[in-house]
Amino acid sequence: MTIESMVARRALGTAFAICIAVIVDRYASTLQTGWVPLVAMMIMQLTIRVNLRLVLERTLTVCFAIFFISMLLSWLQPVYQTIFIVLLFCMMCSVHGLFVTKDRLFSVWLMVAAVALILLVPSLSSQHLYERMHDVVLGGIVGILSSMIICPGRPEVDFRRGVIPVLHAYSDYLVAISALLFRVSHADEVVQQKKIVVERVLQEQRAFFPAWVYEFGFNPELQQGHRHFLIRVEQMGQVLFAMHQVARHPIDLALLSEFQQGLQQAVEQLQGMLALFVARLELQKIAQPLEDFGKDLLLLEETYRQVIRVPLEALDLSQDYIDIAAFIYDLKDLYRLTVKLAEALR
Amino acid sequence: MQFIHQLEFGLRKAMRHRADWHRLLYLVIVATIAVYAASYLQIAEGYWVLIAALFGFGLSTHFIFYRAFLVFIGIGVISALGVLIASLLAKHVFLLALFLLLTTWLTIYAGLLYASVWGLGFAANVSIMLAASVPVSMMDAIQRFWCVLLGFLIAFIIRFVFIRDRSQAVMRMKLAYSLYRLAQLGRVIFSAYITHNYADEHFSHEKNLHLKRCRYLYEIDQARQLLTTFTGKRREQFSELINLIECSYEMLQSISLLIYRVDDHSTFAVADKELITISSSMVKEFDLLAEQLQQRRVVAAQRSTILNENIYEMEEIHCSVLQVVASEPLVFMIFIQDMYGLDKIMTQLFGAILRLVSR
Repeated sequence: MTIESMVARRALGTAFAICIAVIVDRYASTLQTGWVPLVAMMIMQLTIRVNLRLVLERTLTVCFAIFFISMLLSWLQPVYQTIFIVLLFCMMCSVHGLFVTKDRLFSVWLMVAAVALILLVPSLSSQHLYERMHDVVLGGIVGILSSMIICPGRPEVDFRRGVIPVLHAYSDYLVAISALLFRVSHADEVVQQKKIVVERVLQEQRAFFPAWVYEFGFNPELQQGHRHFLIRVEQMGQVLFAMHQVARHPIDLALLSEFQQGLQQAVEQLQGMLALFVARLELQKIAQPLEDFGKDLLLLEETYRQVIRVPLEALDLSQDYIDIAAFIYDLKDLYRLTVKLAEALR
Repeated sequence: MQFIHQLEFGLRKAMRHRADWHRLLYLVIVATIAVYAASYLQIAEGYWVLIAALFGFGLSTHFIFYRAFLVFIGIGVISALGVLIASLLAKHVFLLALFLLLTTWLTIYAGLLYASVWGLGFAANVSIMLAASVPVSMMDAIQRFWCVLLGFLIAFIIRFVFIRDRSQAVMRMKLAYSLYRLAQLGRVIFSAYITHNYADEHFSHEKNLHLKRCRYLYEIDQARQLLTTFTGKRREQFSELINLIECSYEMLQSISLLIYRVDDHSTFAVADKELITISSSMVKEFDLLAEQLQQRRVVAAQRSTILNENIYEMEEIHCSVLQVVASEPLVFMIFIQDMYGLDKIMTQLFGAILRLVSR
């Protein structure tokens, strides 16, 4: 539901921007041929709405494309113009296929293709260069103003809503990994499903993972804190993937049972902390302050010391000991990261 | 520097990847037939055939006939109707603005909720916007309607009649891309160990990791979706490959944790040379695996043992120096075990690819 409202807001903002751009195109542009809505649409595709640098980059790219194509078209005879446009489109698509894999960037290429295709209209092929530039800049201004005024981006809210599904997925994945380690029946299938969920929520294209925090132009005051948080969240993902590969190993169950209590307690505690983070991000009131949780994982430390008591030469011989040590290290890393997240959330 | 890597990656792909060239060929055929059809019709709005055919080309990502048919028909009819209405409303600015408000909201909303319909909705919306930009008479608007349908039809027919089903080639391509992405991810992970001013470059390292990880996840996700279109032995073979690639990814993630576990970065300087050689041989091995898969031919009959030897050298350094120097030698031992684990998975991958390409 929360994501949906964010989606509705973005869709509504873009729709209103196009609506205004069409009116501006008819009454304020020089050519009245649809450049204003096209450029406004292109600007509205940005993940962060108010990002002047990216907006300028895109507007300048279209200006350059218009200039370049217009100059070429003015040299070509009308007969060759269609062939040229088709070749240009083919080239753009192959460049897209070769260099770009993000789905949504395809929309940018479609837009550039549309710009090129508009030039097919015979009366516009090679004239009105400056008028066209004027309209493009107008479209850029409409795009910027619309993104600032109509349903503007709310980085704080969007960030929180983008991170919550990731933490949910992590929590489920952690439990599934623990089940796999202790050979619970059907754990293999479950952990695979949970892993796919984690992989999907970590992708910008398939979810609302707030990767825009890394982009240039995002509010510098907010960026540092958000970046710190997001980096920790991504590191947690790294640790979980590492734990999954350890859990795949067939560790001797008798040996594992010696450490079972400590490991399970740590997993439960981490799960509790993740649930608390979600509650805090959902702005719920929580009875217990975050800093009281997981002050020490005593049993895990004890388990760790049990493993460490074995001399390193023995570790050389026993793969199972190394696997358990690796799993404990992973849990400790996860714990360290959750403590850092808790500090950031205070 | 990153751009040069991207360029190098792209050019390498351009030289090797047949599936890209097939797609480009498909595009050229679609465009040529659409241009010919537009000129044959000899009508003012004939260029809409080309516009629709090119958008139709963009939609042709489905490999199952009935699904692709539904997509083409659905988007074709919606676009044609949208173009017709937008053309008729083009003279009435406020009505047109309202219509575009509705269509844009619908397409963007659906596209944001369901990533798979993003491109489809976008194509329909851009067609409608193009139609709205040049007002025409009623007759011309109807001509546009039929031209759009014809354009989509051309793209669909060529996709399924002249171009044979290339789902296997696409699957191999996706898996090879995943391996190339793993090679890039591995390079970034090891760059953190090798670089001397890691503290200064911490953020750019994390950002690079994020980008490479996302690209890998995108490719493997695509491969996983494509797997549902296969049956029988082929499905088993591809499924095995996906599992092994995922195991390699998990192993790389485990390998990447060393940087957070070692407090004193200067410790890595002890094994600088070994880390560099491990990194380069690992990247080469991933590239070679991808190449074998992509080209469907056996480039090397046996897997090289260089990576294994390099890991062994690192292990020797661990036993002689790192156990003394490092504050927590156990983390290096875990790292070495992970490297051996990766080497083992790579051997399994090599075997699986060999079985697939030498059928």
